[in-house]
Amino acid sequence: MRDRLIGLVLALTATLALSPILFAQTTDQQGMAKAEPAAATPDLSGLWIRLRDPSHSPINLDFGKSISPMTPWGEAKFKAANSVYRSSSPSTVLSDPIFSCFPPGVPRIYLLNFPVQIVQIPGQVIMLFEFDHFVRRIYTDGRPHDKDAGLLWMGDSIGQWEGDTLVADTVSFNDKTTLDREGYPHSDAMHLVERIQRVDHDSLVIDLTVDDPKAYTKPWEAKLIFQLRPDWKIMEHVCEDNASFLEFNKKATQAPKK
Amino acid sequence: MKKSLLALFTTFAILVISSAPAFGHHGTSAYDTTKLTTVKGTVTDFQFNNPHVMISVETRDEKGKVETWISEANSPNVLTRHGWNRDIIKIGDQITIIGNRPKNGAKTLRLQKVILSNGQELDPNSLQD
Repeated sequence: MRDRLIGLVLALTATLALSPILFAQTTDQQGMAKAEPAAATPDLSGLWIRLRDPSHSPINLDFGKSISPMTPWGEAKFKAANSVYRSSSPSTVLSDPIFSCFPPGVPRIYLLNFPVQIVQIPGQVIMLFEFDHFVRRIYTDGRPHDKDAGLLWMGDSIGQWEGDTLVADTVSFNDKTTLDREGYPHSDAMHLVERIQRVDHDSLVIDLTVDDPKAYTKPWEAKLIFQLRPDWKIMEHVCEDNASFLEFNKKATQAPKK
Repeated sequence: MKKSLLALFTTFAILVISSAPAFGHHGTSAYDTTKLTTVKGTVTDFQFNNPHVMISVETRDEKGKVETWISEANSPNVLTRHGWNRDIIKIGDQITIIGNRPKNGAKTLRLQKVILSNGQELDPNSLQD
């Protein structure tokens, strides 16, 4: 009996003596459990403007030499597009849907000289483009691609975090847009992968891979670099308010009077 | 022919110099981007609106015949970030507009430079850098 009493007292003492440690460990585990998800989600948010790449054309609204050789299908579509931007093109017809204020598609929207604001909420990275206020949502909540949706101007985007990089995967594009203003085409089979990384506080890099076997003989890659502009804001931009521009363009492109 | 040439040169000088292609919402193929045309005159309209800023300038040939030139600059969003504002040009201002003229001979310019009456030069393209 006496031995049992001594044993109970020793056990109680040991339990009380160790309890602060046990309590502290529990607290630490809870604290870590709370901190981990926040630390695991990098912050891409901010107002970003793409920097010009000196290796590209002076206007730098094209992917230049990044683009792989086209398939015969791609070549035919490229010629049919007959972009008014090509200096060699005789066309003055504004066939590019961008002139009718349709979405420029991705990745072309990055090439326009307007900033993009990236906003993150749980499960989504949202790109708010200044150009005509197009919005792009990259779902990071683990959902699969939406196989029920039709073919889309801006595609269907899902993403996952790999370390500090958002890997955005976009499919279900329609084939109405071009990849740049030179008129390089893509098909509805285009698979776009973007690795988006904030390499330092003021710099964002998007390494993109265009895999479109219908239009190009092999996948090709391009790097876009963006600079943080905390002093800027997204300004109003309304593509449809273009009556004076269309009149201007009509004067400049109609056949000379004889 | 001689008179029309004289009229052309008395009201504006055509400078033949090479120039980088202009930024624009629309294409360059309709324009002669190898030549710059200079027009000095009075502002009759200044639209600081999206998608492109438009400036109209009135000038006169030697016979006093009024000519109106319409010129196009970049988006006001881009230009605002590079020092332009909606009051920087006013109707009645004497300015010089310099740009590429279309191959069809229309009196329109894709702007490459604007010189205000006080001599201040404005970049109408202002590519981001």
